Amino acid sequence: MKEPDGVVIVIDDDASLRESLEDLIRSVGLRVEAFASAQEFLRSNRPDVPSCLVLDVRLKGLSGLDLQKRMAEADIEIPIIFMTGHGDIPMTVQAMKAGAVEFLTKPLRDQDLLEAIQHALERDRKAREQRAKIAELHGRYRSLTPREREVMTLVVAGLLNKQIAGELSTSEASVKVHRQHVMEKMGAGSLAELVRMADKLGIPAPK
Amino acid sequence: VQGWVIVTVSFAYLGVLFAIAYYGDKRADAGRSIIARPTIYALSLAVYCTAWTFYGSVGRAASTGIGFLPIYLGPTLMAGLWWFVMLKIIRISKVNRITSIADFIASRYGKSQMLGGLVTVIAVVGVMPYISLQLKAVSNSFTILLHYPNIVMPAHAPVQPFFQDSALYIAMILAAFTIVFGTRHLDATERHEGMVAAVAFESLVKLLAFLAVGVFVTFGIYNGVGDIFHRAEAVPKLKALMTMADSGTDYVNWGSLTFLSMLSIMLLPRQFQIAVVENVSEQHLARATWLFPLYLLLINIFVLPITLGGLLHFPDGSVDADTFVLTLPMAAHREALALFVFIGGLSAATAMVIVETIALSTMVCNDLVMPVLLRQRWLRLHEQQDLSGVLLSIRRWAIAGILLLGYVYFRGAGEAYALVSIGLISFAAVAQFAPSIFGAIYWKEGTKNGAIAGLLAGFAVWGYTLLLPSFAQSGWFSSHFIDEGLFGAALLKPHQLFGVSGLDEISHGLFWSMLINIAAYIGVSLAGRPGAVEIAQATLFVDVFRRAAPGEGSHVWRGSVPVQDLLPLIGRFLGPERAREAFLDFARQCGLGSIDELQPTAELMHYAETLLAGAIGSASARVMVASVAKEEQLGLDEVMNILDEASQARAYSRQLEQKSRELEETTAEVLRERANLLDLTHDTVFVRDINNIITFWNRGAETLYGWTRDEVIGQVAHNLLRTIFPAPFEEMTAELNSTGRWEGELTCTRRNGTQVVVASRWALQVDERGNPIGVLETANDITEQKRVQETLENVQAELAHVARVATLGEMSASIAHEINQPLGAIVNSANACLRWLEQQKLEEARRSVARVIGEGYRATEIIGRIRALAKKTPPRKDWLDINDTIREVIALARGELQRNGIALDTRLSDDVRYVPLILADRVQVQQVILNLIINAIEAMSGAADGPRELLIRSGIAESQRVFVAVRDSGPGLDPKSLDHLFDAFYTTKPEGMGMGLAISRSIIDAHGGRLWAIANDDRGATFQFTLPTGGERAA
Repeated sequence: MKEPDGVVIVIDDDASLRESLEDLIRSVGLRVEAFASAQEFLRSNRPDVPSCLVLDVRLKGLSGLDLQKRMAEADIEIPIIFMTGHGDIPMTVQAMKAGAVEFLTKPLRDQDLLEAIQHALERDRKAREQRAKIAELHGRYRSLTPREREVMTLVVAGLLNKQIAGELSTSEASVKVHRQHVMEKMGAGSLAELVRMADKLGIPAPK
Repeated sequence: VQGWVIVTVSFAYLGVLFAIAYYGDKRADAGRSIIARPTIYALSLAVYCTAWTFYGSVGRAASTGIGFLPIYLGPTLMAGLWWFVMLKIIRISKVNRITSIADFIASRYGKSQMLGGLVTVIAVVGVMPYISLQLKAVSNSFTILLHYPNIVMPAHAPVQPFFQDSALYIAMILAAFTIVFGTRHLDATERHEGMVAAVAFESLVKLLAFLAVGVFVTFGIYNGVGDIFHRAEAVPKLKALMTMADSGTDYVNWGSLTFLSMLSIMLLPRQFQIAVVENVSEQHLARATWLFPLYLLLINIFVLPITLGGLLHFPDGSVDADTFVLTLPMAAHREALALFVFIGGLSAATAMVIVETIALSTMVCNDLVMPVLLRQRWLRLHEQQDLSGVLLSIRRWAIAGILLLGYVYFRGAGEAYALVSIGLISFAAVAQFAPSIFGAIYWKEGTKNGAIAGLLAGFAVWGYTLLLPSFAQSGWFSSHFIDEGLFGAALLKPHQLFGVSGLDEISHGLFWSMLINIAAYIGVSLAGRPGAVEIAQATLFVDVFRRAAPGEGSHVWRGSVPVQDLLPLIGRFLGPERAREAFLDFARQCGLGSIDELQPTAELMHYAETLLAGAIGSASARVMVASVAKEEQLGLDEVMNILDEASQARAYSRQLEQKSRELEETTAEVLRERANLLDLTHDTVFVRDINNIITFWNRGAETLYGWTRDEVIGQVAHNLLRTIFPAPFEEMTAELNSTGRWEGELTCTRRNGTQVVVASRWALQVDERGNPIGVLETANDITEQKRVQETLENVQAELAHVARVATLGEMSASIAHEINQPLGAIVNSANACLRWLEQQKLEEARRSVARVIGEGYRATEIIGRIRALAKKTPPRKDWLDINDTIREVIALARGELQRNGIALDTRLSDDVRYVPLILADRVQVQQVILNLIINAIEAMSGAADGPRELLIRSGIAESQRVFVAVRDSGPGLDPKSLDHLFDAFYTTKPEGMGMGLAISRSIIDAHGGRLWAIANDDRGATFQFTLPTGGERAA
């Protein structure tokens, strides 16, 4: 499946700077959406495509850092490229700690910005793929019956069929059937694959 | 009702009136006037409402519906104009001691005896029908009341021989009453306080009586106004009354009646007497302008209900509508009310008759009889010691005579006309005075001959179109000429003059008489030239408000007469005792102890003339004073009068020009003499004439400018001094001419070529007539003072500059940001452009380049603004738009606001566009605004929480100043620090220098403005300053 093109979201309250950024980003063939304030952005419908934010640290109203915090709270995972008028080190550290992709100083070198954008879009694409895979796994896991989930938990914990039957007070034959179903429903080719899936799903091993 | 009851009540009522009048006179003599109240003045004006109003309004309403209204609409409209027109007439009359309308016109047009006599004749002839109307009303109402309870119309009653005719006795009683009232003694001002009090009382009585009938008819006989109108609507004839007929002539009729009554309220002799002659204070007019119309409204409010009620009650037409007011109560057997109504009508009639006859008798005596008698040498009146007795008898006979004439008219013509029509003929007669009166107070070109021509022509047309037909209709002579025209000429039909038809007789008569009157007045005035006295009086009348105060008259007397000669003259007319008192008064006013100390001056003669004018009219007074003065025919003062107003146009005569030149030389001489005294001072003083030629040059001027007197006399002042004026010379001269002064700084060049700055004061020199003859200039050398001031200004500017640079330093981070923004945009757009070019996308590339250019300009602007603030510039003032100035500062401070998370709100009022721009140093004003903004930011950045809001407002403060207010939401002002806020080196900030506000205040002070701080109601502080706006120079 081919992902659609990415969208770059520019938020800057200075109209001329904002427009010049739009122009620059568009000139390399990327789609751009621009906003004058963080609030405006939060109110908008975000596109379901790989995207990244190009954000001025000092915005009127909600500042860039505030927006970063809000997004984290709301589980909006879009990589952020910060722009700042002049190197403000404490602010940079704070932003990077909170997961910013890049911190650029104005005036921006176009190469730096465009690379950062490409980088961020790539990262978002991967993150989105990752999230898609996990979502897929969750879907498969949800299709298991409660008994099959119990069996799966014990299987990935490394128990033998016999031990599982004992644990669940059932016959070894029925455990086998359940285990077969689990492997099919989860689409796992081997035990090792099932264990990796369980790890991704965060299924805890029983003690 | 028994005849004796009516008579007794009537006499009792007259007795009450007399008591009031007597009391009023007593109080006036004691100096405690009871009529010095605006309400009494307004009430006394209601003498306008005569028996004609009292009985006749209903009569007219019965035939024309609301056609009775214009008679009251006119005065109401006029009342609105009183504050302009009447005030002027009153002021003129007080200044000139005018005693009657004849006196007014005669006085204005050169104190002409002939004109005074003419006006008197017109007034007597014109008003006669009006007086007879009152007699008719009283006599009719008496007759009707006498037949109670039967209702008998007087017209159908058998004609009484004259000795049994009640009207004759009424006329005689009224004559006696008026004589006692109005001619008990002579007064120079011709005022009758007691009479006015009685008239005001009568106004109340007639109003109450009328309202009583109205209420009785409306609510006693019928069930309220609605009921009457409802019933009337059922009768077609009555229904028609309630609408305005839609024919065109009715509007003409309405218009001419309104116009007529507008004039009458001012020009009827009795109205002039009450409104002008008896006026105590000009201030009383203010209340009269609304109270009098209110009175008119009240007395008219029940007219329609009574009319309709009467027509409904007497449907067969047997009862004359003029009598409804009386006959309705009688028909309802309300004896007491009927009697009260009779008294009300009597009030209305007596008030009118008394005031009218007193006014007319004064005119007859002063303007008709006395001038004639004084010419009759054989009577030897000149030699008689006391003429006051003669004057009083003349007036008494005049009163009796006028009332007798009124009675004769009543007997002869009274029955032919309804009440209202008789009154309107009188109105039209006095309307003839209008052109002369209004010309008198607004048009200086009006002449005596013009006034005489206008009055004669108007009066003649009035007589022919209105008076003679009324005689003819009364059967005095054949009415043939009405239908056929005089000598059978159709063009001369009195009611269709020159073929003009379709007008009712009043409108027709008014139209022709006024047209011919005005045409004759203006035409003859313009054709001839006025005499010296006419010009003087014209100026005195038209420009009365330009004179300082009432009481200052025209001093046209030349020559001098000692008081010993004047005293007997005045004594002959006023009585020796009153004359002596009057002169003693005058002596006291001059600060002298006795009459003998009075110097023979022009003022004394003028005073004597005005005293006499009160007794015998201004025209005769002038002749009398002239007889003792033996003044030369054409005095210097009169020549000055001629020069006064329209001099250039009129002074063609060589002789006059010669005289005027002499006069100028004399005044210049006086001025030079006065200036010689100024040689004693060290100040610089010189005098230049109206052509700017130097006529005087004192020693101080010699020292300052370096030229000697002999060198400069005759030179044009400011050419010699190469003066640099601060404003166009014409403007300065205009100010000098209007205010008499000019002050300001001039830069002149000395003889040795060096410049000198002087504080100069100009004073306009005028002659006795108020004409400019020269300018006296004084000057003080302020060159040194200017230099010190400039140094001080430079130091201040330098300090301001230091502070500005310091502020900019504090803001450097924000300023860098401001510049970085456009630079960043430029780099981005340029990069984008390169890429577009690589892709051959030229349109996009073009757009990018355009953006680059725009941003480049933006960066330049910001740098320019910072440079302007940082640069050390000499103070210079430009015309600023305060809003633009504020916006530029905000552009600079925006980054600083953003950095501190402060929300900015601006409310710049568009009002400041409508006042002239301010003249100010742009950089310094911006510095102040920037300073206030930075202060506000700092105040708020210290506060931990709460919204950070900055509000910048501009607008108009009082007296055409602009204000700028900067309001923050910081912690506010510490009350303790308020006193020190603007002190130098006072600061609450650890890193602050404490100069910002001190420098800001000194900048605003230097601009003539004010800077102050106030604590806000909620939180934070507001710093505000005002600046004066420029004059008319801003476009």
